[in-house]
Amino acid sequence: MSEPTGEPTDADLLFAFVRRRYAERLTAEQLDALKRSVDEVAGLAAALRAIRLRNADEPFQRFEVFRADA
Amino acid sequence: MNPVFRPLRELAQAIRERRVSPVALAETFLDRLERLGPRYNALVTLTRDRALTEARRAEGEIAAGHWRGPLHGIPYGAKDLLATGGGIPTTWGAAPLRTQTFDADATVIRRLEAAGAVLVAKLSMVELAGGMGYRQPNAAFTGPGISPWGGAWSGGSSSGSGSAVGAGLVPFAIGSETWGSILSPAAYCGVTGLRPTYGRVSRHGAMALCWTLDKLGPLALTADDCGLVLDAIAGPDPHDPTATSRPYRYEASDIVGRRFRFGVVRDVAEPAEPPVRAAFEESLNVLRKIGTVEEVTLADLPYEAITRTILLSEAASAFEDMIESGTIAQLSAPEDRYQPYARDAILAKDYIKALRLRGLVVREADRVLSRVDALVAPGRPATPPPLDRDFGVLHRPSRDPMGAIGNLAGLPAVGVPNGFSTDGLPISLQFMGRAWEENTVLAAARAWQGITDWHLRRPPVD
Repeated sequence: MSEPTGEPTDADLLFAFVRRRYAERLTAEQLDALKRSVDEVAGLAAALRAIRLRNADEPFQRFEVFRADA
Repeated sequence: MNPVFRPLRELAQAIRERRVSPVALAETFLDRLERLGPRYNALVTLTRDRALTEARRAEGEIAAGHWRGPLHGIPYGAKDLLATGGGIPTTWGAAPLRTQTFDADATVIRRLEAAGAVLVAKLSMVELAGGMGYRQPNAAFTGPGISPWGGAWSGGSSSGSGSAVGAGLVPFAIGSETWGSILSPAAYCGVTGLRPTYGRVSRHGAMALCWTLDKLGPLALTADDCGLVLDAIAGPDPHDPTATSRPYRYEASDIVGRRFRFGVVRDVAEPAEPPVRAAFEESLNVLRKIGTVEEVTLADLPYEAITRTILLSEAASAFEDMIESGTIAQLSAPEDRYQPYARDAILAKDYIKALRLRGLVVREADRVLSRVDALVAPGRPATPPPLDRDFGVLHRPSRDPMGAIGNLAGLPAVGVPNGFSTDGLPISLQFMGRAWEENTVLAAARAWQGITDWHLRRPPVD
């Protein structure tokens, strides 16, 4: 087992950003719960990043050009 | 004739033959909504004046020999995220929006009016359709939705749509689903719910929660009822670019002796509670009377994480003003007052990755579904929870892979009653089909309801 390094994780840094934006609105209890939610968001990202895609795998969301007179 | 708990065709025939008056019908359901709606926290606004105006019009037209079709003169309720003009509030279930009004009706409301249906109520819903991440039933200014079965949670977010149909307060209702919001209340209230293919029904005038996942659909007593309603509300709409130009007509006639091919995703019932698992295993035996059942496998992909990333990201944008301004502090569920802030932690590249992975999922789902008529699975993995139940951590791994895949790929599904637990709580079964195959899943659900009677059971309401 490795010793904790004390280095902040991605989730810690993301939470620092969220806290900076909203902490003044929240109680300590809400902040604790929010930290867990940020950890879970980081978990979602990790699950997505574990899947490798090809360069040609485009977003499944089509862009269409627009002309008002078309 | 007692019109309560009657399928739509029976009501329609009675109206057409002038054995039942649309005005009397509207008054019956207005009375039931007023008297019993609060018991289930199902009602936001009773639309009495509008209902009686529409009912009188229907009565006059039918008396003059102009019958519009099977919804003419039939009362219904709409989830309170569908805009209604005429000063009727559209609250989205959220306390800070209690007095919100719109100038015009949503397309679905207009289409139902054109079919002659009578709007009797705006029905309760989980605040902002659950988009802020609620974790327990008490998440609307109208209080927790209550199922007519056993006083448990009604499911959400179309809570009032489920409980009002289940308690016989309306013959049918319109709900919406982003992830589970039609199938869950259908399951927990013991009724039938149809989630149409994404794009089948215009969302114009409906609250946007998640632009690439939102769908509108009916909850009713039977699969046939749902088909009749879909026939009225489906179709292209210049106000909604995602509404398909593909024509839709409900095919109600059954082919005698039709055999279906049902698929079951390996281990799909594994996460379900024991009574749900047992009912599902039994339902497979019943389904073999009307078709074949084969096991299928899906590629190992993080379906729930993909769907949830898209949902959280798009909802954060849809409600950016409420979140950034801090208006969410006025919401009913304590967790809805702060959890949305966590979505600032979702990176753009991860949302895009989810959209790219979505391409794999839609192809994988279509590959499997192209070989069967429908995938069958438990409608929900659990029976309705008690009103004080904490659902657990918001972003925990989901126990609803069918819901994740079906909504991510925009696929149609019908949820039907499939028994009861020993403590009398409803259990459901779902049929999920290939894109645009509403008629196939409805035919399967009709066949199911032709050989079972779970959809005929009624809760002790009166």
